[in-house]
Amino acid sequence: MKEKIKNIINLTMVYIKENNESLKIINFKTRQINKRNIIFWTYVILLFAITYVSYQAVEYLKKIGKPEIFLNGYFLFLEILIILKTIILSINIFYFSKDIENILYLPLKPVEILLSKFNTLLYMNYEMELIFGLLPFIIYGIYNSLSLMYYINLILVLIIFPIFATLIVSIIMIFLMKTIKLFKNKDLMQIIITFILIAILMVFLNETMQYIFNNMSNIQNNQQGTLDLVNDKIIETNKYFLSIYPATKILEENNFKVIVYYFELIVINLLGFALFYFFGNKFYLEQLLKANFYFKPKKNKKIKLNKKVKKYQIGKSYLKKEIKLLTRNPMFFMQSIYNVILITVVISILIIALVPQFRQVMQIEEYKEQFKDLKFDIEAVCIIIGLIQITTLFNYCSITAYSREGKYAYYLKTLPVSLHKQFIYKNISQIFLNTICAIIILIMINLEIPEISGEYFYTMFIISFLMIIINSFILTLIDLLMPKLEWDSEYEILKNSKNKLLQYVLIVFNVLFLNYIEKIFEKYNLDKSLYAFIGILICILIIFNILFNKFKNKLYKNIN
Amino acid sequence: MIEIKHVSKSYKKGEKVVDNINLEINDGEIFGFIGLNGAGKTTTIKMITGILEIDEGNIFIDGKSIITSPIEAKKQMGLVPDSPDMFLKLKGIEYLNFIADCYNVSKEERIERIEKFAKEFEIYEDLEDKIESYSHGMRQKIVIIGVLLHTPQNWILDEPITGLDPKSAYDLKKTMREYANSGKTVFFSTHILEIADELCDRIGIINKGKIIFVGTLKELKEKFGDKKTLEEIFLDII
Repeated sequence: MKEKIKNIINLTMVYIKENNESLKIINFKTRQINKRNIIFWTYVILLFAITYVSYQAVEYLKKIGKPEIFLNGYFLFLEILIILKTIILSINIFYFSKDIENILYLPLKPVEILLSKFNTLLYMNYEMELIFGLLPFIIYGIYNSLSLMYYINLILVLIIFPIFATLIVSIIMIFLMKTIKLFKNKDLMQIIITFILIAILMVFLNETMQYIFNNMSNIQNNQQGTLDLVNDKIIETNKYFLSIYPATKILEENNFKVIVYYFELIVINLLGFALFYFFGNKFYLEQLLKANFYFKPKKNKKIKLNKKVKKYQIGKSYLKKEIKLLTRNPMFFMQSIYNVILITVVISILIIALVPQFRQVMQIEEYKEQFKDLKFDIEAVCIIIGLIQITTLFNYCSITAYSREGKYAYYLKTLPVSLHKQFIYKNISQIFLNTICAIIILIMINLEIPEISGEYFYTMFIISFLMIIINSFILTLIDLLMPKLEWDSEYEILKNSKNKLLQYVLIVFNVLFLNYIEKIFEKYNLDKSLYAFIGILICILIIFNILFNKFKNKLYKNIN
Repeated sequence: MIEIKHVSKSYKKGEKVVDNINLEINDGEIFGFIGLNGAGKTTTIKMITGILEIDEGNIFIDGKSIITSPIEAKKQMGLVPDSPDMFLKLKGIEYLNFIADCYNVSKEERIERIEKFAKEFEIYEDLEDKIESYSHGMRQKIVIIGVLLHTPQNWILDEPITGLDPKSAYDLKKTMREYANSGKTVFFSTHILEIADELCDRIGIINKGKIIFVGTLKELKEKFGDKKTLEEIFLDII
């Protein structure tokens, strides 16, 4: 037993150290923070942003006498983040990471590998909790003048809290790996299992949201009553997640009675762990070997060259190559295409659910006065386009356009295809996906708000489309200038990627740009403003292309 | 024909990895580019193929400058990199189609050449499999077929024999000889002297970024000692 624990700890430490070193935030030789690291500064900015938003929320809820809504709501948000992160990472970490081949020959028991992998996953969730979870709860404590006991409880709760969700997702994944026998195609296997896990979560969230909104349809005429109802529904939802309710209660009650909730949390986690250990012990090694060492029997294939050899224009051929590399690779598929589908569905659900609620609120006498001047103007256009911009936040096609090719990206430069054309071809996947996403969102808005004239939708589409192209060009340019070509597993391309963080910065910049456009044109006629906006975007696009073509050799110098 | 004229390259200011090299590789010859690891072989190949920018000088491929007419120059050559782990998610046949589209090879020519070379290199039955399932040798072969599909006038190979089994190495050397005999240029880098001895019409030795010898193996032996082995001469002059 002692030996087993020692092995698990050692292996966990190796994985964690590897993860930390790839972040490069801390220089392990000097033991100092690397202040030149862009990831470090992005975390700092993110922490400030989260602190500010949390402060605003806590202050508002305290003012209206409902501070507990923050605890209930924020734990739910944190739990969903943990589940999503575990879903995305777990299958790769447990079954398809590159290190597995190197550790399988070591004298380690499968369960030791399994538990080390689980610890790594848990550690990654703690990292996320540190960024998203700690400060908001501290602010809550300070603002509500809570005692030292609250902070001690907070640390203990944050340590225990992510365990259960990580265990449950891992157990479901082990079951899915056992049930779905697709080892012949492990890429497809990864996509399908992740899809099923996210689908389960989405169905659950959708059902919960529907339930909350249906109950809110009898909206009450005062804000206090509505918030009470929302709080009740969040508490009800939290109970389904098992670990949220006791965690919230510990921080809410803050006295010695919380031992009962601690006991509840520990029992839940122990049960989860027992199940995980049992099923992992039973199935993990068998699944691991199948996933990593499946040999396809050789068949004598008679290839019909007449059918298989096809001649295409270079643009079409290049695009086909791009799509195949994107769709056949589970990590690329999930990081680009899958994200877009998911976020489009979520935004569409939100539009369908929220717009009718908003209409109902507008009918209430108390609010009628406030909304009487509501009209479709440049501000509304900028909000809709901003919404579309945010939905494109998680499409990583362009930001990994060159990195995806790996260390042989330089081979593209030997092809007799102009570097400018190759740059354009590299953008098409992201532009196509985001355009589809924009069309769906505009259709949803058109269906829910038919008052907006149809011609404005065409104009908004053109603006969105132009912004999608410009954004995609900028993101591909970022990847071209700072490609991550040295990687062993596809997951590494986006893991702790500086470029990914710059993508978020670009979206923030876009929102500010839209805000600026709104301020410039707010006093002008809407039609003329929109045409001027389109003109500005076309000019940006033309200038970008001229400059790119002029400096293409210099821009491609890091692909070598 | 490949002409390298006064070409220099440095990654850091003041540290030239390739220093004012001049080479002329004629049609119909196999030219071996020999040097130790880090001598500047791969950097030179990357400049010839347009992967790296040239700091000073110029390179002409069949009279087309890689700086001013890169597309025209690239159409005249094909590169086999040292470790061809590219486009792994594509099937062999898809990769060949893609390369043929880049070089605008007609459908009839593709069918004929794919059939010929894939059978010759014994990977015809693997064309429907993804490249990721191929062994190192098979990956090398599919890239070689990709190059031969468009029959470039200049064939450039970076350490081509490394990692190949004896049979594949023999087949490749045979193909290189046939290619040169058909009037085309074969330029390859290596640090294995036996291969240079066996295969090359002329060799160029590069050391610390400078060309220290260009000529036939006979000339090399005459100049540096007739009775010494190629290995001894090489170690003497670097």
